[in-house]
Amino acid sequence: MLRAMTRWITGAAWVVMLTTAHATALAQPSGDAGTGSATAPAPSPTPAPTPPPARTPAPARTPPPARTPAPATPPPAQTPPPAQTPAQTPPPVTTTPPQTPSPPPQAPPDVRPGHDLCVAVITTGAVPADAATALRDGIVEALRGLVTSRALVAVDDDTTRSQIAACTDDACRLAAVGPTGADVLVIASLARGTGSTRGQLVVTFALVAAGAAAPPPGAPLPLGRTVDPARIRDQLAPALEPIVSAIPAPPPPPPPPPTTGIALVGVSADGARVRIDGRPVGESPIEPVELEPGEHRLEVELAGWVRHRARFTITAGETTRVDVPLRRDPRVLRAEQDERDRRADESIPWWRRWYTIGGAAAAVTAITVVVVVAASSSGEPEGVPVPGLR
Amino acid sequence: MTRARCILLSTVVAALAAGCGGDPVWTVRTTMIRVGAGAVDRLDLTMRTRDPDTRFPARMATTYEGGSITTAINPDGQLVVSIDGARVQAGLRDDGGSLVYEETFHGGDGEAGLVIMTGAVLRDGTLPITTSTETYANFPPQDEEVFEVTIQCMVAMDCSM
Repeated sequence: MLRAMTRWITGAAWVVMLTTAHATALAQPSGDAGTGSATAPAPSPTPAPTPPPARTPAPARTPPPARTPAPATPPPAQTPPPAQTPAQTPPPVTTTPPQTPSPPPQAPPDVRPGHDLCVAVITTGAVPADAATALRDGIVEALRGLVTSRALVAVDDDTTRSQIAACTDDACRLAAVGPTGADVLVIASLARGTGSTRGQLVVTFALVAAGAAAPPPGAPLPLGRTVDPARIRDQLAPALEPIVSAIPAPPPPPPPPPTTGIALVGVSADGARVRIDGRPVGESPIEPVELEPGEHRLEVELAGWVRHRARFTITAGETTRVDVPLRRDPRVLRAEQDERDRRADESIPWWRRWYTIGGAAAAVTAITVVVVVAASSSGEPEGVPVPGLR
Repeated sequence: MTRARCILLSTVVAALAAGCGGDPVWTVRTTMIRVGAGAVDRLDLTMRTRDPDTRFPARMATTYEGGSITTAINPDGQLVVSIDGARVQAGLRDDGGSLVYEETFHGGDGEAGLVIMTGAVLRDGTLPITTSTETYANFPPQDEEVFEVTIQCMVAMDCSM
């Protein structure tokens, strides 16, 4: 699902004074004339004829081969012009407009995780094709210094550009570059300025990224009238900073599959010593224990309770609960019962205890027997004894 | 408590059993009619069984009370108790014109049977001067049982002295 946002930045256009020859060439349908005029050396005071080392331009048209749908034929605009035809280059050597600031020294480029990045330059109006090509290459070079991408490709074919231009939403625009597999699309709209920027080329940037929040509108960037690739790169770098900053972080890599499992050992009595595979893991209640998958031995010991032994199986990525119902040791129970009986006996008055009553009964019996025996042995009872019948 | 009660009950039962095991004591009351005390030289009380298969076992004659009473079993298996005249005279009591003499006996354990008791007053040691009614009694007698034997002077005899 793509939730992209296009920010077509509107703003005042910068005017780059084109050389007279170039302006003349723009009026002609042939691109060669434009190329020639576009590459005319502009004695512009604009600095940065030499880009910073970090921006040492690699060949602008060398995207990853797999990702490069377009031929790597360098555009004519990037080839150094063989010569400036004096006839085509009227004297007015355009200077960089005063409002064109010198780009500040570039900080070391950010290293952002890779995206599949695609650059498309959409031209509107009477913009020469070579200017668009030079701009595209300049954007690619500038992004190389700012972004570490898995793949950085440029849209070369007019069909794709037309599709992008015709789109009304980001999903459509990303789909238009679908064959490239890009998940981030930088669209540069190149147009001719109007009003105070009449005669100048103005570029505005927009970022389309899958699942990204809308970046702030980029400031319109005047390119001046001269299409100088090196200068364009330097101009583009600061203008692309907010675009780059808005590139969303790539989705985090999926977590590695778990290789262990969790054992939750629940013991019915606290303070029991718990061992797993012979290794002490603490006294109950114990924290969850991380274990390798497979079968494990469990031993639970507590004084006065019957030792518990069990086996359980751990599965990777799963939590296994092992309940240990400890039972009281019968010997201890017996001893406790005896102790309770003893205490109960102590609570009985001495004259009600069994041995007191038993002793008294024994004494009565003994006395009775003694009396009877004494009476028997004291002589014949009263009277004359008579024998019994047989 | 149950154990104590058992002990106590056993004791009582044992004591009762011990106290109930003695020989019965019984009495023979002899009433003499028209007989004077001075005429009594000896009183013989005889007990014979009615069932011929039941007898008093033979034994030697035995004297009691300083020789004043002699018990003996005759060859017929009869028990003869001979009481000296002086003892009888000393024990006589007047009971409305009759003389009554009582002697206490005990024992008699053995086979059960019916005995016939008779009495005789003898003068000069061997001469009976009285006749007796037969008294039937279950033998052995119950404790404190009293057997009545009545004897009277025979006709033509002077039993006054």
